[in-house]
Amino acid sequence: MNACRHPQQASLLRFADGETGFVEGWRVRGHLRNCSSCRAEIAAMQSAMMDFAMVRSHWAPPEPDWPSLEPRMAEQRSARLLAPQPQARILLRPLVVIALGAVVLAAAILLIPFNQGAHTAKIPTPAPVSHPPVPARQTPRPEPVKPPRPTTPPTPDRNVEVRALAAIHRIGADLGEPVALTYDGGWTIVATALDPERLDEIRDALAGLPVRVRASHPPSAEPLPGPSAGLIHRQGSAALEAALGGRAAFETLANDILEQNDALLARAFALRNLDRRFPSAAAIPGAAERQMLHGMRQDHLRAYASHARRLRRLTGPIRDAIQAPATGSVRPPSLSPADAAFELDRVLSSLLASSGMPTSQQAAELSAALAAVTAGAQ
Amino acid sequence: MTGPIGLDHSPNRSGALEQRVTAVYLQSRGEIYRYVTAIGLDSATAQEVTQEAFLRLHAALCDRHTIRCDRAWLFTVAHNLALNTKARMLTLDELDPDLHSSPADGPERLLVTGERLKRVREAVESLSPQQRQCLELRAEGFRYREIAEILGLATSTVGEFLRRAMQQLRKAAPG
Repeated sequence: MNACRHPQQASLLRFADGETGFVEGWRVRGHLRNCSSCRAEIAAMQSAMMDFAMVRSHWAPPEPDWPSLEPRMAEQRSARLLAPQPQARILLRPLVVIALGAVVLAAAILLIPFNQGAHTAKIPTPAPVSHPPVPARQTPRPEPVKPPRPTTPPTPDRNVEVRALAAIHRIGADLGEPVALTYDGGWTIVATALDPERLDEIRDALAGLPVRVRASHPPSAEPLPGPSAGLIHRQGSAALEAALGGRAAFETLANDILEQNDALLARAFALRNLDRRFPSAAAIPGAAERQMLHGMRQDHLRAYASHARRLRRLTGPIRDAIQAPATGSVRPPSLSPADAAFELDRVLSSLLASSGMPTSQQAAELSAALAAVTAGAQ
Repeated sequence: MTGPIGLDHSPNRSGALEQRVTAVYLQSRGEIYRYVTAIGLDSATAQEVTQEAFLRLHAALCDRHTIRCDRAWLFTVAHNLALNTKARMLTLDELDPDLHSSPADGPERLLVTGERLKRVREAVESLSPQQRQCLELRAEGFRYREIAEILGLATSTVGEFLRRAMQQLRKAAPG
């Protein structure tokens, strides 16, 4: 047997499936040359996949008689041609607005005497007009019209909500992009100021789900500030710079730290959003959707843990320079992963932007915040 | 030719789109049908869901959506439609598992004669829905990245589901 450590089972499976990257593939191939047990492991995996293929072929349902799709496509095409097109809708819109306005005005005039009574159903009130007062109506009062029964909005389908979030999670659109999932009788993704290619990616990801995608373009084209935008024009402490090997070394280190910090914050926001939307997974009816939600949380937590580890490593030289207590010796404050990341962001902002040498309190805060994100990741 | 309100409704373009959809329909309807059946739809519903996925492809192409890979797109749509349909239906499994058994039950089951394959089949039935979906899509030849896109998972999660599924299959039929 090879004396080296065996590759993990997942790595062997990826190799058997041709899914390893160059480096991983090279390592596994090298290991397999000298390791008969791993070769046997791969052979067993391939045999299991062949067993599955055989069972599947026996199991396959009989093919039904497939009708031609062409009549249905033709039907679809004629329905689309008959439907009002965007330009036609624009032309129709003023007429519809005028007609609706007239109806609302008439309804308001008719209902004024009854609105003074008990029912207070809100009807959109037209803007006050300066016409001369209408003389009192002499005609007999009609039977009071029953107020419309308040319509209960359809209940949002939480399964669709989870699947829509999973779809945007899959393409990484839940990591700080201006994309929001809202419900107004149906699920809608509102994407603000995204380029058309990204919008298409979002539409593709949501294909087949009952979710609309709406592009929103804010009037101001100013970029939204990132989580750590305040640090872009930082002025590092000269003492800290000197301790870390000069300004250039400090700048490089600070940039690496901020990059990881931003990535950690993106995961923290994503986790917080999921927690706010789904305080309890029991509210989600589908088992598959509950599993999806769990999967999304786990993805974010794994990435969060990875960024937290990198931040611990990157901040090592700073902690040494300012004689911060070892993070292992600090009792982490009890914070959620999101709150721990926000606290670390605050501490890093004040520490990297401070003009003098960081104080012992800042040093202690840094260790505590790092301990908190490490604990949060677990 | 351009339509009266600026959209391209030329017969040439419509014809080309329908030809494209028909070609993919002939090529991929069987595998999509197999997949939606494997994730728990009965034969008639699976057929309807399969056709609906192709009609959505036609509609999306008419709307000029950019679709990089028709096949992966269709699997994504079919997967989502199947889950929606399943969520709406009262799951027959909950009432009587025999009512919803696979089409190969009965005489066809006799085809799987080997004890080993019976055990593999039982192991497949005991997989979680997502492990099963990953395995089915892998058997359809999709890469991990594509499976991740279809199921809305991270690529690493797909690898983990496949590893666990593989473990169970191997436990059922060692060596």
